[in-house]
Amino acid sequence: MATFAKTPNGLRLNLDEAETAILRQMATEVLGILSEAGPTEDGLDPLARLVEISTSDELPTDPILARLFPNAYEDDAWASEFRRYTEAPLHRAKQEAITHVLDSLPQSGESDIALDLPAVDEWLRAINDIRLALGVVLDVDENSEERFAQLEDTHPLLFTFQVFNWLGWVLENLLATVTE
Amino acid sequence: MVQVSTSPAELMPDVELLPQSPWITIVWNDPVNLMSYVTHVLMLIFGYSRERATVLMLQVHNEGKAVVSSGSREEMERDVERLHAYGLWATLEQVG
Repeated sequence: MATFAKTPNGLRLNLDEAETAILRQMATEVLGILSEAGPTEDGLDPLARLVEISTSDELPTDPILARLFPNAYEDDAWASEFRRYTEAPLHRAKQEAITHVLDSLPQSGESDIALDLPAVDEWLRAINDIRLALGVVLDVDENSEERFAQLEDTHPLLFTFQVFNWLGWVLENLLATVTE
Repeated sequence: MVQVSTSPAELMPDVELLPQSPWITIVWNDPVNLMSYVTHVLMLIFGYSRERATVLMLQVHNEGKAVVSSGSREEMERDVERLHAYGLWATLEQVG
């Protein structure tokens, strides 16, 4: 079971072998979804590329991406324009955070990781994004606990729901440790 | 032909000429985001006290949404972008 200890400049996190493997798997899956669906830059001039303007201007059709990159305006035209110049840097920041989490995890065995405060911030964002993605897959709502309690022990989504809850527990503990 | 983008705020010059009606940033309730995380993000982004951030978080949770900041359109776009970076579901709109 994971342990969290405050340090002078952040915290120290220990994950057992199974937890390390699960976090690695979930982070890899969400990173895969992000990597496959980078904002398109086709047909842009070099300057637009440099300042990370993209031609992505619609709410993504994939519901996970739609949750990670929601519309900023109710008005479609304004939402599109906002998306064109914010989605690329937002996409990059989300990929970077998850990549850094993956980079800090060992390939196998347990994890003993020292995180400074900027790294904790990346972990919080990455774990929250992974939870948002799982929340879409699981169709999480206010009644999820009851709904999943009724599933057979072997139902494949039950394990995913347990992982979702475990990630919430990790997030709570990361926050509590740095704010204590 | 793809045009280099301008800020959405620049697309609507007429709006800017009207008497300034403030813009607001709204955070919407979401069954996934943890209450402690939402409070933390509001403190971090806006520099709110834990008490103020908690009140706003509870308003999001209980009433479905809360206005978390107000100001110029450009400022609210920046707030929404930062909230999206933290995975909060946020939008901006003009008052009135």
